[in-house]
Amino acid sequence: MYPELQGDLLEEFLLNVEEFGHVKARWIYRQEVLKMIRPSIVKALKKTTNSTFFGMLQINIKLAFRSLLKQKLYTAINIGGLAMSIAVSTLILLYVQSETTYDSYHPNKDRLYRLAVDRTYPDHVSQYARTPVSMAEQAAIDFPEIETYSKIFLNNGGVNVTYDNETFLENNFIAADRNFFEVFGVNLINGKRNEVFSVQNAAILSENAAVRYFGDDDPIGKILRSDLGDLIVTGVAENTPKNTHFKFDVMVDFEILDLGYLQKPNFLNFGVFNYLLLKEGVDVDVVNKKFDQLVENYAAGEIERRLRMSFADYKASGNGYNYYLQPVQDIHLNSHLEGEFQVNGNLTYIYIFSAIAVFIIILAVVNFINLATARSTERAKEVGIRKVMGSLKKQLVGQFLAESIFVTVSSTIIGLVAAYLLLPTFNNFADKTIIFQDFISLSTLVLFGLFAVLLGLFAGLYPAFFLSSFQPVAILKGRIIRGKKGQWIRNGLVVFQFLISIVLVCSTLIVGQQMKYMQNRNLGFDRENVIVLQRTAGIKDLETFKTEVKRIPGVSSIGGSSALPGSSELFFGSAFQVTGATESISLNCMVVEDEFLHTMNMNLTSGRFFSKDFEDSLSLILNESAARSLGIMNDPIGQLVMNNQDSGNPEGDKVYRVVGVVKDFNYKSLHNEITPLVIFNNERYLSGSLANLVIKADIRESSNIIRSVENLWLAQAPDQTLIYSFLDQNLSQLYATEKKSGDLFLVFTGIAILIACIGLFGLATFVIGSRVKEIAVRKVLGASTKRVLILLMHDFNRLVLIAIILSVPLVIWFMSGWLEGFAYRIQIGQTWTSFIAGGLIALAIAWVTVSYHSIKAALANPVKNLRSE
Amino acid sequence: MKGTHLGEFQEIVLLVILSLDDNAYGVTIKQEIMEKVNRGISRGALHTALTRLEEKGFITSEQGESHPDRGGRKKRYYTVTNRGIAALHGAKEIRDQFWGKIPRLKLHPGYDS
Repeated sequence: MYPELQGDLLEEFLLNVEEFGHVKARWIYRQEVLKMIRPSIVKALKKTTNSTFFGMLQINIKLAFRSLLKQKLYTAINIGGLAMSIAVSTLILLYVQSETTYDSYHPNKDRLYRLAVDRTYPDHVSQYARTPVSMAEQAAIDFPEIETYSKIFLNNGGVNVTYDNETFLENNFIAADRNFFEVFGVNLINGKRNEVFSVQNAAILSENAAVRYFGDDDPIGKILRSDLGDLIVTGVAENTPKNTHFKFDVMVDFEILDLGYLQKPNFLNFGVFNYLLLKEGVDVDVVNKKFDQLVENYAAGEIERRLRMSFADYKASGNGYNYYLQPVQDIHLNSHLEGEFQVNGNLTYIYIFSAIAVFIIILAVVNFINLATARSTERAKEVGIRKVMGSLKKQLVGQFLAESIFVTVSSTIIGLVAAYLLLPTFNNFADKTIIFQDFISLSTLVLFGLFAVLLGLFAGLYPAFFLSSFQPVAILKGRIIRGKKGQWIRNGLVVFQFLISIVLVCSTLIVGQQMKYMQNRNLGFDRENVIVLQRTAGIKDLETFKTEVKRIPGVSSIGGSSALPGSSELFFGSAFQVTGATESISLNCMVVEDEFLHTMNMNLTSGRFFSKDFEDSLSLILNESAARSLGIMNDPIGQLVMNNQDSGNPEGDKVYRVVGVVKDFNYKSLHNEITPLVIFNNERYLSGSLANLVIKADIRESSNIIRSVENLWLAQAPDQTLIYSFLDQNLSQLYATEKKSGDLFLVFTGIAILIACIGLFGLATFVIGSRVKEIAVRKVLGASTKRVLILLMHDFNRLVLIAIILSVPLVIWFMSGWLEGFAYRIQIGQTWTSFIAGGLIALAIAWVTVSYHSIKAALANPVKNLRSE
Repeated sequence: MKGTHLGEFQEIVLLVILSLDDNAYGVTIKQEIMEKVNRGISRGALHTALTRLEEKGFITSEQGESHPDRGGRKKRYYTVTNRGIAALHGAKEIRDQFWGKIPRLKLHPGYDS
């Protein structure tokens, strides 16, 4: 209100009192005031309040800035901690976003499904991502709900492709149906959709591959030489996006492949990836229910022909096929079947990481609250003076909130910049190609701004009300704020922070324990000192090659096989029947040379290995599980086993003799149980499929050995790429997801601990700051420095101990769930060392953090602290 | 421009301020109007007129001294600007013009009612 007007009113009132008396003067006054309510005055009034609001805001920001500058250490801790947690959370957000948007580039992504199967065997269940060739095709004919289908075949081990004397091993070499481009969201850049498959040996390249082979030249019509014969480039497609469950560099027509039994129309061999595009509005469950009938109609006959038993009997003996459709967008996070395109992500980790992101933010907010209240002793006087000078509580709250919003907004800006700068490192670390610019848009920036302001409000609320509620008289008299009321809140916050840190530490340690267990577990064969050569089928004279390799110094033995431990897609299935038994069961198979089992140092439980001294083309070695499955565990050696062949196979059934039983070895990853395995020595089986050589060699000589092997290889197979690897590394590759997540976990744990330490540091400042006089009195009365130190540490120990106790059940609950993902795992009881280590780490960190303040307080000269009394 | 037109009430206020010389503030202006013009006005109406005049640039104001009678609030003193005086002259001229045109003796016989 205008002071002049008020003054005028009052002056007039006094005149009126003299003239008319009190009553009338008052009446006039009221009337005058009421008459003032007219637009011109009211409007002007509004304008003035606005300007003071902005003025206050300006002043608040200025004050916030000043008080933050005054306390540089606290400001640095506050903004630094918050910025760090925002940076980390942003990175996690980016990671989660990239993981959850897999396969969203297909135009009909909501209707596109992949066929998968749970194959039940009498003694176990296997889940396969690959299904028989004819399934999708037949389903598309029989089911009206299906619009179209497509199938993809991935050539494991890759294909050599040569152009202009340059050979590349194409690992992402796929064969697909001709309607590939109608089903999937891959667009052609060069070439026409209906023409790219017009020739038999057409090849469609990805943009990357086209540039690799032809540079700037037009690739269309060029001829590539490959293991599959000459290929004519008919089209170039855009690169498959990074977040896709399958990718390709070279695609050929499914028909030109020579895959033998896998390619022939069949309903039994799990060989290709089948995709179905459902019609709009179709319920996927309806389709899922129909696959049973499809199996009855088509697969049953094939089984009966092959095994000579009725399908009903077959099912009764515990066999079954449960086909189902997986939404294509769920594959990356939810599908962990055998024979996937690549190691998929894990939904659990997405949840865990998101939770960690939230927790890290909460930890930082807790810090903020703790530090702000911790500073109350210092700021109490400020508040007191302000109140004496006439500040309202409202205004003080406004000022503190402005301060906290200032902190959160600047932290958010710093955090985002840090996230941007750290992203390349993070990409490298997490094996991602996330681009920051994709993520930043006006709406995300607005969201971040909003988030920062809300965070500031939220974090500042408690300190603001706590600080502004001080009684000025009490403060200015010099009484120290005890803040007993807020004690449990502050302690609770610190316990919460340590709880989270300890849970993370223990979990990280347990992950480490499991990883170590997997690395050290006796798998049943030697994984160290084994060099693996893949794709050896291109060697013209394998025998000579092997003898030459054996002569290299450091090499002790060499053996070929069709499959390797760890690469479960290379094992094939076949049906077996013990003579005299009525049941036939399907078992995994591999074919090996005489020396393979010896080279791998596998253990026999009975019988013998294959050997040059015997004619072993009709001999079998079983693993223990297979012997158990066939029911011949007690007396396996010499048993005759019939291998049921496909009725199309001209050779018909063959009878093999079991010559040995090998101790179960983990030929799949440790996520899966060991399943029955049959090992052949049949030379005929070997032809073409013997693709791997294992070399037992002294690993210290490895660089020399590999150089020599390379020379031998060049002489024998000049247009083939030599692919060598070390078995132990290949095997650890199986746990790449766990390893990666474990590493990320470790980083997050470090950050969480750091943030918790900041919080504890703040609490220590507060608690010890308010006990300075008590300590001084104790020292005057004769307490030793050590004694005081123990007293001070005691409080913090208690908090950390509570956190440790609370964390144990959480970790047990949480980590047993994680460990259940492994068939071979440490028992949760074995992890007690992790708990002790985690607890001790937490305690040690707490001590280090608190010791600065404690020691300073305990050593302080009591005179200094008592003088002011 | 919203208008430099001088309303009748505004003209009176201007004249009053001029006549009050350097003692023209809210209370005195109002009293003068009530006494000399014999017209009851509200403070709000006066204030509005003063704001308008100030907007038009006919008067300026400045804060003066405070006084215990006013609850310690300051007075706001008004002075007429040259522009204000010019506007008053303008208004007077117009009136004088018309007065000059009226025949001096044209008096209407009749009764004042």
